[in-house]
Amino acid sequence: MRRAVLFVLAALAGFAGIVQIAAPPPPAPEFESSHTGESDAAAANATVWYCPWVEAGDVLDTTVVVASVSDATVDMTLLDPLTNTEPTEFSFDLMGPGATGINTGNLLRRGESPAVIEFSNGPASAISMQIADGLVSADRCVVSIPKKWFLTGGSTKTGTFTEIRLFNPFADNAEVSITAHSEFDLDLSPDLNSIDVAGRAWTTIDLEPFFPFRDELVFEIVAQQGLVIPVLVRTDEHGEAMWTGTSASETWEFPVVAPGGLEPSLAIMSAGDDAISITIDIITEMGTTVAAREVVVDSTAPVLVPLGDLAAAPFGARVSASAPVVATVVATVPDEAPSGGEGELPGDATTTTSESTDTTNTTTAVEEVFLRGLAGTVGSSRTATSWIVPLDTIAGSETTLWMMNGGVDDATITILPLGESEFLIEDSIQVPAGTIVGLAVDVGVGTFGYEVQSDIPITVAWEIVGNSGVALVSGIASE
Amino acid sequence: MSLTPNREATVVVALIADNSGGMPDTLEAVEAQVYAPSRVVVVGDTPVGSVEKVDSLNTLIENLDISIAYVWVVREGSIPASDALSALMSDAGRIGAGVIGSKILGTDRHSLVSIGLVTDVFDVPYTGLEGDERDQGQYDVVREVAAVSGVSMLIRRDLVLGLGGIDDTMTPTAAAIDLGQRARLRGAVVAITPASQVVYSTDHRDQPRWRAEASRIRTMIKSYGALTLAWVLPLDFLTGFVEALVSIFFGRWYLFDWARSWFWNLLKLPETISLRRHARGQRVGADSDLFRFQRRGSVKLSAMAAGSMAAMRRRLPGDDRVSLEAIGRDVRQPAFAVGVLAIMFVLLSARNLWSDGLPAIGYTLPFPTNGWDVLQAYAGGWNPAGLGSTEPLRPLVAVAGLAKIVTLHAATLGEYALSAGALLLGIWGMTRLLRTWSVAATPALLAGIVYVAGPTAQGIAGNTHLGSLLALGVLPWALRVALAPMRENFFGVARRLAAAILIFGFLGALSPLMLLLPVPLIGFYAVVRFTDAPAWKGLIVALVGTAGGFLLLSPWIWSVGLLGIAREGYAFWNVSPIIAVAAAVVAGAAVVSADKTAGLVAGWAASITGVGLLLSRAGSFGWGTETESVALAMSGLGLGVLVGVVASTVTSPDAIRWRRLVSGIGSVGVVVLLVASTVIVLGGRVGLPGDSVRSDLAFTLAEEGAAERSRVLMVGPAALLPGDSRVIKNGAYRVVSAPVPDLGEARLEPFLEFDERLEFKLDLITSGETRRAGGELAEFGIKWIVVVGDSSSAEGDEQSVAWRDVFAGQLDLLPLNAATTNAVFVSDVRPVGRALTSGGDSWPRIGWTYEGEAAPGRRAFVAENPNERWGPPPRFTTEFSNEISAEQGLATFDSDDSRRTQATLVAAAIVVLLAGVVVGRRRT
Repeated sequence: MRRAVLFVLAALAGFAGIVQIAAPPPPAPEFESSHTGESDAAAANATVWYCPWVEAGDVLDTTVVVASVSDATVDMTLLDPLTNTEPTEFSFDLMGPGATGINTGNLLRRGESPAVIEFSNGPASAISMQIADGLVSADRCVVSIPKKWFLTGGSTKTGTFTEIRLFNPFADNAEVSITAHSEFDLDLSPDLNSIDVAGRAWTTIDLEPFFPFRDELVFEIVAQQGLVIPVLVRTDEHGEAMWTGTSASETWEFPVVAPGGLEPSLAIMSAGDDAISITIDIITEMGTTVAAREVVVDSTAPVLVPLGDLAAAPFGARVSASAPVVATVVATVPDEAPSGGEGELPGDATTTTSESTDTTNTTTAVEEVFLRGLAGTVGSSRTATSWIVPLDTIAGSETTLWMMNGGVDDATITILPLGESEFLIEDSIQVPAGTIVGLAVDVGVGTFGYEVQSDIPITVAWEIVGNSGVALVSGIASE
Repeated sequence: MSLTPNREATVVVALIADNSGGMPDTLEAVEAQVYAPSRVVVVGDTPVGSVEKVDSLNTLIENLDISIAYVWVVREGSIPASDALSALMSDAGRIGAGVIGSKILGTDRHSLVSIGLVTDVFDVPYTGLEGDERDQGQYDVVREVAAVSGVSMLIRRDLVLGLGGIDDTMTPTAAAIDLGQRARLRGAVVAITPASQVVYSTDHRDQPRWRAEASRIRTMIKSYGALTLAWVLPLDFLTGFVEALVSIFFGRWYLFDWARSWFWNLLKLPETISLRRHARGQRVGADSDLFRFQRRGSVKLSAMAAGSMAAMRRRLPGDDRVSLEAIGRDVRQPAFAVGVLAIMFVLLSARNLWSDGLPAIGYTLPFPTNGWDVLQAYAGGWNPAGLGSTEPLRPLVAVAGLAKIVTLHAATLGEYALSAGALLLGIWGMTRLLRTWSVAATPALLAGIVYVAGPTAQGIAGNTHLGSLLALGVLPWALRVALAPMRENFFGVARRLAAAILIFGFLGALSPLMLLLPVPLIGFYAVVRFTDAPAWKGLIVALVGTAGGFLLLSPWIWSVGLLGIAREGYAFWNVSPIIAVAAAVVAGAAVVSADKTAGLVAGWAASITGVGLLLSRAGSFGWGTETESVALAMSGLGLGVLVGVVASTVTSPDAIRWRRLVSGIGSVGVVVLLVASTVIVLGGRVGLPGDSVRSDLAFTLAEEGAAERSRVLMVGPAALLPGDSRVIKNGAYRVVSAPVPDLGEARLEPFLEFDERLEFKLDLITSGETRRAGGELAEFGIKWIVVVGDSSSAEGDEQSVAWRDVFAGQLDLLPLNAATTNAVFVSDVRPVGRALTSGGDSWPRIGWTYEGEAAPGRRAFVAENPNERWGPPPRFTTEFSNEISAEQGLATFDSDDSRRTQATLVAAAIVVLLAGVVVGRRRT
């Protein structure tokens, strides 16, 4: 009897043991350091900014503009193209709130030299702007580094060139694959399946040999090992523009899309496997045109949506998609517009050229429109109530800060100019619901940025338009 | 009286009175000699009628008339044959012997006691006789020997006078050897004549053992040349020490004898040197003449080996003591064959530990290099795990330290001895435990193999819980010491309780949770065998053993909560369905087919197997991995008993018909379990997984001296990290020493200030608020970061990839891509060190302390959790670490006096308990 009881006890215990469940797998780490929460790869709460496109040579100079709300020590590191060579380091104190611009040509002049900007305090942010005779381009630096990037708005159509720079600021080697999408859908090139980028180095890839004569190009860049920061540079006969990569998002806002009379278009692609529908709202200084354009985007082919016919400049755009998309605004000289010579303002409609006639052998002055410039920018994937916007001014160019209130309430916005001077005056403006407001930046008074505070979420960007060209730059949210 | 000589009398008889009794018989035998001596003199205190008496033999010899040619020395209690002296005289004259002895027979007049002595080089006497060897005339030849028995020997008077007499500080046997060696150095012949026979009782005891040892050492010093002494004395010193240690295991206590004998010789050294000069001053022979009468090897070691074998044999069930006949019988028994196979199994299963030591993986880490460091740390010193603490180390670490000390800090011997020893002890213990229930040797050995190497043991090894694995060797002994029959007198009970406390304490030292196991097991057993009084007594013994064992874990036991240990982690033993079915078959067969008592034992074993299985998978109830290992030990014990019962039943002639059929089915399960047990032979690491940490960190040795100066931050899946790990944002990490963390670093203690600061820094790094991880981690002495696991691609391990992405995105870390399987980063910051002087020099960690070049006027920063006991002074304990004086080039830590006292008391208690066991054994 006792044996039977013991055996039953053993059997019950054994059965109870067998039906126990294993431990659940450990949860995935929640590190924010590399996989950004920001689709546009920029947020002012981080301390290190990476500026891939910094160059100082005999033709081109780069100004790195930094802005900080608090007192901070800024360490700027300019990498050397030769590996195992100590980088050039430059450190200075920035009184907050304040901003300043550093001409890297004054530090060294050796051509390409991507920069790493470290702030000891924040919120802070940085942009880089390239300036040459007849050329200006600019964009935000990057703070967060996802493993997968999208670069939209590329093109290799006749007269247009696209380059990608892969910047690896870290010591670990990176291995990167580049997948291209064009109007021919998925555009494969085996040579781009595995690209090694050595630690603390960069590589620039001209894409025309791989994808010639493509009107639209979107690149999906995946870091198989290590991390890289990609940046796209698009050049045509009218100018040069550059913008950084982004992740995908269901919404994108562009407070300004049509600088200097250029023809804006929205380069867009679905980041998923399904075709999706996209709605574009146009927001002007007068109000909002909801669903000004609706398009359906295929999963593997990018689409270039013209925006110029939707409203008269200036205006902004808001993109809403049924699934995450990547989007870039590219503003180019319209095809029908005559191209201009050097030193001519965008939108200048009074340029004079000469035309000869065979029959009279006389020269008659004919007035034609010449435009110059090329601009592009990624948008902001979210609205925010606090922004830090480093910017720069150039004599002969106009810099305008644009604020877009896509909400249903009017926004009261406080604008604090940031510069090396302590006497910049804070200002307050109203931005009605569903409108954009531009604020011209005074040139020559030492303004290198703005801290923008709003009572409701908005988006901010800035443009520079002048005889050197045109640039569009998104703002940087600081909350 | 017939003492009147019938021819010229030249012999004086010296009767050595030693109060052993029998003097009248001896005197009568002497008087009956056909060769009548001229005088009979009693040497010593014993009054014998009117017989002349002197105080010492030397006094007698010195005062003898010159006409006396020989002195016949005869011990009290001996009975010489009537022609004994005649034969001695005759052969002495014939061969010219200076010293000649008689053949000594036992009181039965058939057994041989002495036919002359040879010695080994250490002057340990060796008769060459077997225990009860009978006299069949096999040694009846006059021959030279090293010495003759002091019971009866004839000495030439002039020779002994020239030699300086007999050394009366020695025991008789040693004195005889001493005399023989000195005589031989003078060219005299020392011989034995079998024609002279003396009966002597072997029950007569020599003087105390230490005195015999001391005399032997003195003999060597007096006789040997300097060259011989140069190697003989140190070797004898060590041999004696080893013998003292080994003898503990056979219930004898020789350590004091050993120490006392050498101390006595130290005191007597001036006198000995003087006697040595005399002995060797006019020598005509050399050491080689002495060596001719010595056997090879060490008599002591041979005796020890033979004793060990005999003792081991005695402990195996159901067999007789070793003898040639018994051995012949034994080797034909299955138990012997299985026992040999079991030993071979252990040797094969642990073979790689001999060369490589313990693998470094999980909680199994190499023993610390310096055992004394460990003991100091255990006794209130600094705990080196992680960033250090004052929490006591686990007793297992102290056991490891002791093993290192006992093995003279040999690289891997301590690890091998403990691991292989535990395996062997477990098998042996299972045979002893099953002997409680009359299970024969062969089934018990099979049960032992399943117990120490079967699926449950492999589960423990898979958890890398080294302590629990070693404790498998002790657990059956803990049950056996409680359940074995006990002599119920005072010494018997005291000895049993002392043994129980020692065994339970050792069990707890290896695995604290396992100390809680015997009481419920025995309690349950007592309930099952309700009317079995020894079972209830065993429960009392187990309770006392558990309580005492806990006290022996001081000071560690007072600083921990066992419940916390039991609930750490998630218990889930992934059991193979085949094994589960096999175990169920064995359990069913054992319970059903065994006879009444064995059936109840099988029921008990099946129950603990089932409950053990349940507990080993009870993670969802909140039980942790250490509970899993203890539960596996419990389950394995039950399974072992079941295997023993089934194997015993199937071979039993009483099992017939359906019982035989059922036990036959059960034996199929036994075979499956046995086959599963042999898997551990493949790895040769007693079932432990292969090394990973040592190879992961081997790169730190690339730069000479760098490993000892810095730490390594290891990150990745917790299962791949050594020992305990901490978690930040679901990512596991831990800090270890290079080039490989030792066992002292396996268990992390609660957070202290420096640990919190490290977590704060890691929070900064993982949140991306800094991109200079190298600089942030430098203050902790962290030079390297190792991301374990597959982080080579996005498809790799989720944890590893996430961590790699964190550190790949740092500006002051350099990747080490060469020859590493993991992602490794090295700090680009200089200098980095665990102990840094204000001049930027780093001190290496030597043992468990920091030592470097003295830096007068400078300070040193020790990257350990801040504690005011760090020194030397002037100390300045910073908020996060320790700032001390660098004047001496040494960082020290003052131990906690209270804990040191506790540890000392524990050590004393262990000695007292050991003595209790030894004394109790003698008395019982």
